[in-house]
Amino acid sequence: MAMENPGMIRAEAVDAAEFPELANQFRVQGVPQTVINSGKGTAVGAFPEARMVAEIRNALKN
Amino acid sequence: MEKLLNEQVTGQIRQAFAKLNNPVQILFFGAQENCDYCAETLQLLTEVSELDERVSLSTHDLKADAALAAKFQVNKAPAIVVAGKDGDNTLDLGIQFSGIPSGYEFSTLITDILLASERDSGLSAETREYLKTLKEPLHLQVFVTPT
Repeated sequence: MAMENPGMIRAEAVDAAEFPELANQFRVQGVPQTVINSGKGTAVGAFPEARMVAEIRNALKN
Repeated sequence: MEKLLNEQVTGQIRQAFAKLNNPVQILFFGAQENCDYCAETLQLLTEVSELDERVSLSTHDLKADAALAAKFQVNKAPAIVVAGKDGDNTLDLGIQFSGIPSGYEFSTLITDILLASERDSGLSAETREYLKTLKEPLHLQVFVTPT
């Protein structure tokens, strides 16, 4: 997704074990868990593309 | 130092890299303090980049190269940026790892290198269209555990 608009989108894979404070901050309990814009949205589990887009739209409200 | 990747794995990666289209630039960001896996991450990336001349690796320090880190929005170590390479230019593709990509995440790293080389996300036309019209920055942090 980031590749489609790198000026606007960052995709970061975060090792929850290595950065536990960050994982705790976003209450990460299962992996993978996708945190959208520092908690504006969150999606637990692996999702198909359309569902992930829906989660993003919901978090960004557009 | 003992190799992290065995011959079977390097053989598979070489085979995957045979399909590389455009060159890829990997940026490693380390730190002098509080970085348990910096050395191991750098070794892993070095072994991967040695498998194909189209994969380049540069190493940076989070503090000493603060401007570069800021440019790629890197604020942790170890961190890896998978970017495109066009001559001397590094093409930011927005792809980043925080932490060592070991275990299952190692295959994610290899996939990202292939994607960066192809410069094609493989997403649907509808998704691409939406992402291109975003009006505010989007930061997707995918929390994973490497084992």
